[in-house]
Amino acid sequence: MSDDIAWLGIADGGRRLADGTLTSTDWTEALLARIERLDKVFCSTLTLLSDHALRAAEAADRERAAGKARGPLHGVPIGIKDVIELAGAPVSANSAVLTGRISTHSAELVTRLEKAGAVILAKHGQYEFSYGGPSFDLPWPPARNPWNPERTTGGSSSGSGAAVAAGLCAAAVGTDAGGSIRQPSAYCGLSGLKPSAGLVPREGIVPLSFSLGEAGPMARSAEDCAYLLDAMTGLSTVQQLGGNIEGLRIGVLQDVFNGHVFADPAVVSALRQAVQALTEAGARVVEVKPPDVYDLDACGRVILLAEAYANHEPQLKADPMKYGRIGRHRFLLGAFLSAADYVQAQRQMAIWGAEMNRVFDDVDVLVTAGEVTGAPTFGKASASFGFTGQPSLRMPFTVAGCPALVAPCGFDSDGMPLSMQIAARRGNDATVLNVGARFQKDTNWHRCKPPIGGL
Amino acid sequence: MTHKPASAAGSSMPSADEMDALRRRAKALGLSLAEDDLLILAQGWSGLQPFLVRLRRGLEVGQRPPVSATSQ
Repeated sequence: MSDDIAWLGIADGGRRLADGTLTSTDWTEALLARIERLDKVFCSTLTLLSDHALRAAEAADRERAAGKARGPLHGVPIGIKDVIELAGAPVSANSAVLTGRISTHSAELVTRLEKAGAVILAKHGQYEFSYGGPSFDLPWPPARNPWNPERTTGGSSSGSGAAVAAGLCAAAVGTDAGGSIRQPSAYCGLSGLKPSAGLVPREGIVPLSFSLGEAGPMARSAEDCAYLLDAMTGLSTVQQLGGNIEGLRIGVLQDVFNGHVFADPAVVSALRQAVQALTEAGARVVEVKPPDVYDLDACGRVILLAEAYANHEPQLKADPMKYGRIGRHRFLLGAFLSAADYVQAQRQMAIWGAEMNRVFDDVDVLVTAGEVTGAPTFGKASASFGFTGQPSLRMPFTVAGCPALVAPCGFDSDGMPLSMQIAARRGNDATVLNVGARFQKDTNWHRCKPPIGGL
Repeated sequence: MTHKPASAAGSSMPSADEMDALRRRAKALGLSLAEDDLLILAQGWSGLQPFLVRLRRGLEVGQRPPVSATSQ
């Protein structure tokens, strides 16, 4: 397979399908062969759906030959995170607790993607129940980062991050409660969107939390994210990617600049340059006073811990050792929270989430780092509760229900991707995608490919 | 409001009293946990405390919050 097929995204691959220089069957076969060849290194794919994908690809080609193209996703091979159900396929959430379970129905978002003509070729590996970590004691080993297989991809949509970055699918759909789309997208050099709360149907997704969490796209560009989002929601965000950000008001969260939140100096530098690129494109920086990210982070963490424990309580009491080490610890910690802790977190989420949305009275988007370092080694990522050290810069936008896009904006001294995060008021998903698309029109970070040519 | 630095949070060794307290709570909750797991959970519980303190700030009795931004 020529490299150019491996790295096709939705927009450029769709153009080749449309002009007849590529068929969906050839594209799908090429990616299936590449997965067979490379995934023993990257461990991205929990279930390879070869027969399902080839049938869908052949059907897409027949329809196109008959003059019936369904839209931009018609015949495009993509992957989905394992917790997203596909009728007839295994769904284990990468946990021994669910090993052997087969989905009887497809998630509503999968139904919509398939109606749009997408070819689902793989279910991707992930952290256990979207909450564990890169444990080596799970049914499927942790995904490895295509930019350096000794580094983690982040999670929990870890396999999706590895697969898109390694050229094993055109794009993927992950899920994100505390940052599970955005962290692996940041660590793997992808564009990834946590959509506005409630925008993408949650039905048919194995839940982590009942208050938080969205499914969303992980892709090679903001434009490709928009194609996936539109197919899953019926929105027309692609039509709004004009790239004009003249006069756009940007608020820059100062946490990584003033040391409120630690960040690698390379991240600070890359973020500063990214903001500069946006201002050169016509945006203007406006000073803002958002709520404290530590407060918003506290709400999200406590709600996730409590709801995750409640969801898994019977199994944790009956047989805790069925969970992997990191997942077991994280799920169990919620047992020690009081009802009052949970209720206060819900009250504060409503208060501080509303306060965060009010910031958007004064600005169109907020910009901060997608992650505060490049991807760490597996050793550094294996602590069960390393996550209590400082706040995630992603959780505040989850708690506020805001759309948040991460987009690559540089590299650290080890050659690992760095990213910025662009967020807007709940419901303004097209705005963050448009800003991301404009940034990617003026820069080439999203076009960089990991050094895996020798594999 | 202060936070432990990332390298320290959740990594300090819990005291014997803290371990005993957590062991009793786990038993009362019906959880049967290995000592290794209890130790990690005690560290995690310690690291979580600053977050819980934040959640109790500024709420008045009877204060009704607005509708959550994440509700569908």
